[in-house]
Order: sequence, then structure tokens, then C-alpha cells
Amino acid sequence: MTSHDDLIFAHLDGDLDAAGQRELAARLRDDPAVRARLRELARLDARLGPVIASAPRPALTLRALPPSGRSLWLRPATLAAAALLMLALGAALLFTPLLTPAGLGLELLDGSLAADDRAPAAGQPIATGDRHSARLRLSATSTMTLQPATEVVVRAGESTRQAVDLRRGAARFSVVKGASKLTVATDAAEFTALGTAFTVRYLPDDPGTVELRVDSGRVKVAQRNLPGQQGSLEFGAGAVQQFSARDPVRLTPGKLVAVGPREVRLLIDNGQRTATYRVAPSCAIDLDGERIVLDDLPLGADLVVAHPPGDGAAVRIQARPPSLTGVFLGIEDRQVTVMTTGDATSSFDFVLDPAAEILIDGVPSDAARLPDYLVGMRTTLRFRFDRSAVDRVVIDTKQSPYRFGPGSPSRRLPGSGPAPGVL
Amino acid sequence: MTLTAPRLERCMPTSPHPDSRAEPGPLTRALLDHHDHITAFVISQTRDRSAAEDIVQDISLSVLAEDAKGTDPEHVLSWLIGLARHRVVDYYRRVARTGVEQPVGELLEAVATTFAEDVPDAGEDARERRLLGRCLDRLAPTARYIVDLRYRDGLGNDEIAATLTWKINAVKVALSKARRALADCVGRAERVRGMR
Repeated sequence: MTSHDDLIFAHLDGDLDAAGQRELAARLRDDPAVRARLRELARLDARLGPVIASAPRPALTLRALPPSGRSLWLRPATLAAAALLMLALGAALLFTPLLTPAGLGLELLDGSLAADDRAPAAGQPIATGDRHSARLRLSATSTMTLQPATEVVVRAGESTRQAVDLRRGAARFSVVKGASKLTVATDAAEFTALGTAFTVRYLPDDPGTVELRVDSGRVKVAQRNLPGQQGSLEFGAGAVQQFSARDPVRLTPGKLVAVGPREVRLLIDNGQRTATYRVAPSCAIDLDGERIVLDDLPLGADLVVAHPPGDGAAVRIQARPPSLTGVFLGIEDRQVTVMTTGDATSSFDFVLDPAAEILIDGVPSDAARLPDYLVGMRTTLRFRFDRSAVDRVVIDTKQSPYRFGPGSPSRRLPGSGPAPGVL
Repeated sequence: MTLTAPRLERCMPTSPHPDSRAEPGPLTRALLDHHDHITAFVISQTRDRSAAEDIVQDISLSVLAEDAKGTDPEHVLSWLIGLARHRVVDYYRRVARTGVEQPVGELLEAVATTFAEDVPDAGEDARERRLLGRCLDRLAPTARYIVDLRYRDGLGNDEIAATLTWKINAVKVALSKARRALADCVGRAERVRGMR
């Protein structure tokens, strides 16, 4: 029998079918403990959003990249240490995927390789000549097509996890979604297929730069060699993006359309395709000429992407000034509860920094006075955020529709509003 | 939580006068005390957090208006749940043509009854949120990451699965486990507090 919790979570996530809904309804009717549990878990569910929004985002636990260039696996010392370790452990099963060429699913399907006298082998360079391409099976669920003058090393060939070093040239990879994990490492970035088909190539005129072209699905990218860059980017179908070992990511120019929180949507190739860039936190990105970390963007802010006129090579991303129009419900221990209305983004709590600068119609005030202004008042505030805390609050009552809370009749003061500093 | 509202009759040149306070009406007071409870109810009915936020905003404005009119129901929580139910019905009417599926009627009824029952911890939202924040810090990194993807980034199970290259079922299991751990953690903290 499905547990109460599983039924409740499935319901809250919208995953419960009609039969499950009737089952949950029956349990709720019959058992006070289930009713109490639903209240408990649903309130937890309701609180998690605002609580997480006001908490710092935890560090991502992405695998650390080697400090430079070639894969750590290819260093002689690393290989020797790994071999010794494996021998010491007697782990034949571990030994097999790394060094044994046969039985790994690595097989030439079409075309020809530069060294026709031997079968492609894991751990050994696999290269094509200047005039020939080759299609190889990596596993039952993944293939790679090497363009002419391309060299790769397949680091592992087990069925569920594969890694390929692209040393030069260009290769197209195709992976069935959910079937296996494929990582392609280059000098500039590491690409992880999330069920996709994509091509990675070194630019002929700039060997330090690789280009990613996503045909379908999504590809996660971790860029190499850039201090402070510990996150990843994700690129969807239609995306064409270049990565340099020297510079931070610059989004591919295009006609820029809608943008959401941490999501940039571009129309590229004369509007024929749309690429959605899901931007991970803690990932450095070129923002209007300056490198920033997206985690530093204001809480709740949208990214606004603009294409500067007359500069076809640049993409400008700006944080929309964070502002909220809402009904202010309470402030306690610097925790301000806001229910937004109108065109604002959401309702959430924020923490007021003890040293926050507070200006009400241009006049400095202090946090202790805020409740008198805010509770039940529908007005416009502008906040400056330092991560989860607010270090500046600007209240402009002249822009307020003057809807006040209980005990105060709704009214609009004469003219364009009160004089600055007067309520 | 001390709540106040501005009073227009007193105009101060720089900041409000300390005396310029007005207590919120009983309905607003109750809404503040039950804010997370009402939000949880609406999420339980809509299973859409974004829609729930909009509905709760509507509810808050209606409550302010009803307080101004002097509405004084006998059982305030039931009245609030009733108001929320009306807003949920309005919501499903609005989205009827967009393919949003409404849960079966008997479940909506049972959920409404569940949330209309008296709750012992009214007015404790701020403290409960602080507890939850502390419990979040104790989650294992992977669990915390998944919870972040769901509740900060708003990703669905399928999107989380794609991000992590996991199976969807594995995401569901991990997410349920993380939420259960959070509920247990908050529950333990509550029990410790009750023993003091």
C-alpha cells in the first residue's frame, strides 16, 4: 500500500492520478493523523519557496575540473597510480573499462580511421585523416562521428558512463536520453550530454576556442581554467556557442527575446531557431563587458538581455531593477513579509540588513519606522539586495496608488501626491 | 508579531509618529496568523505554487476589504478557508480551457475540511520558517541541491532529472526523502521546544 507521505507528496506535485486522489480523499476522511500530516507537509511545501529564496544558494557540487589542458586521466603519473591501485585491489572489473579495447561497444560503423591496421581502442588516440570521417559506436545508446582531421581519446567505455577527450578537429555526439552519460572534454570546456545530439569543434583559426552546436536535447557545459567559475551553463536545442580557454563565456549574438529568472532566450539565425540558455548559479559570465557571477544578481530580478545597436558582436545583460508593488503584511526581526500585487514577480520574505539605508521619499529613516509605513500599505518599494539581505530600501509614495490597510480609508492625496517626506 | 497600519490623519515631515498606529482588523489578524496555512491550502488545491501566490494575494486584498466593512464571522479560519475555496474555484474557471486538470471533487472537499480544522500553531509562521531554514542547512548537499532546483528555480521533476541526468523516479524519491527529512527535523525542533 502506498504510504500516506507518498500520496501527499504526489498530490502536492500534481502527479497523483484520479484513483490516487480518491484514495487520498478516503484516507483524509477516515484518519485524523493523515489530515494532520497533510497540513504539516503542505505547510512545509508552502514555506520552502520563501525560505529558500531568502537563503544563500548552496555551493554546487560539480566535479572539479583539472587545472589545465589535458585530462588528468592522460597524465602518465595518474595512469601509473591508477594502474597500481587497481592491481593492488585486484579489481579486474575496474581495470577492464579503462584499458581493454575489446568488448566495450567501441566499434567503427562507417568511414575510416587514420590507422586502419587496428581496431579503435579505449585509452588510445583515435584519429581520422584529412579527407575522411568516421562514425563509431561508443555504446548501445551513443555514437560519435569524427570529422576529417579529428583526434579523440575514449577514456571509458562502460555502458552507462563515457568520457571522450576531443584533442583536435570536430565530432558530433548522439546520446539517447536517460540511457547513458557522456562527457566530452576539450581544452576550453567540458560538455555533458543530457540526452542529446551535439557537435563540438575546435575553431581552425583559433585552436584555443571550441564551438558547441546543439541539435537536440540539452548540453551542460563546465568551462575550464577560469578562476571562480565553478558552476555550469546549459544549452538547449539550436544553441551555437563558443568557449575559450582564456575568456569567460560570451553569449552568441542573436535577436534577443523573452528572458526569465536565470534564463536567457535568444533567437538566432535570423529568427529560425530559438535557443534557451539556462544559466547556472556561481557561473561567471560576460555581462556588458564585465565578468560577474550570476549569483550576485539581485534576488527576484529578471535578466534583461539587450542587443546594443550598432554592435553586432555584443550582448548586454542587465538586471532589471528589483522592485515590488505589494501589500506589506508584517515586519519582525528584520523579516519583512510582502504579498505582491500587480505586475510584481512573487510574494516572499526578505531580511533587512541592520545597516540598511532606508529612504522614504528621499528622506533617511530607520528600520524601526518601517512597519508604520508598510503594513497593509500598497505602494512601490525599490530594494537593493546584497544576496539574501536588503541593504537599501527606497519608498516613493508619490508613485503609490495609496491603498492603505484596515482602519485607513483608501484615498489619493490631492495633486500628484504629498510633498517629499510627508505622509 | 506586532502589526500596524499607517494612519493618514497624522502627517509627519520625516517619519511616522510613534502613536500613529492602528491595529489590523480581526480578519487581517487571522490571515497573518494563518498565512502559511492558507497558502498551503491553496497549493493543495491548485498544485501550482505560482497560481497559489496570485490567489493568496487576492485573498489578502479581499480580507482587507472585508475588515474595512466590519465583517465578523463566527469561525474565522473556516471563513478564510471558504474565501480561499471561492478563489480556487475562480482560478479553475479561468484556466478551464488551458488544459489544467482539476483534482477530483471528493479530494478537494477532503482537503478543505482538513485545512478548516483548528490548528494549534497559528501565528507561528515566522518561527516555523526560521526552524525550516536551519533544517535546510542540515540537508545533505545533493538533497539540498534538488530542493533548491525545485523550490528556488521552480523546476519540475523532469527538468531536475535532465539537469542531474537522473531518472525521473529517482528525482521523485530523492525529493520526497528530502522533504520528509525536513519535516522530521522541524518536528523534532518543535518537540524540543515543547519540552522546555
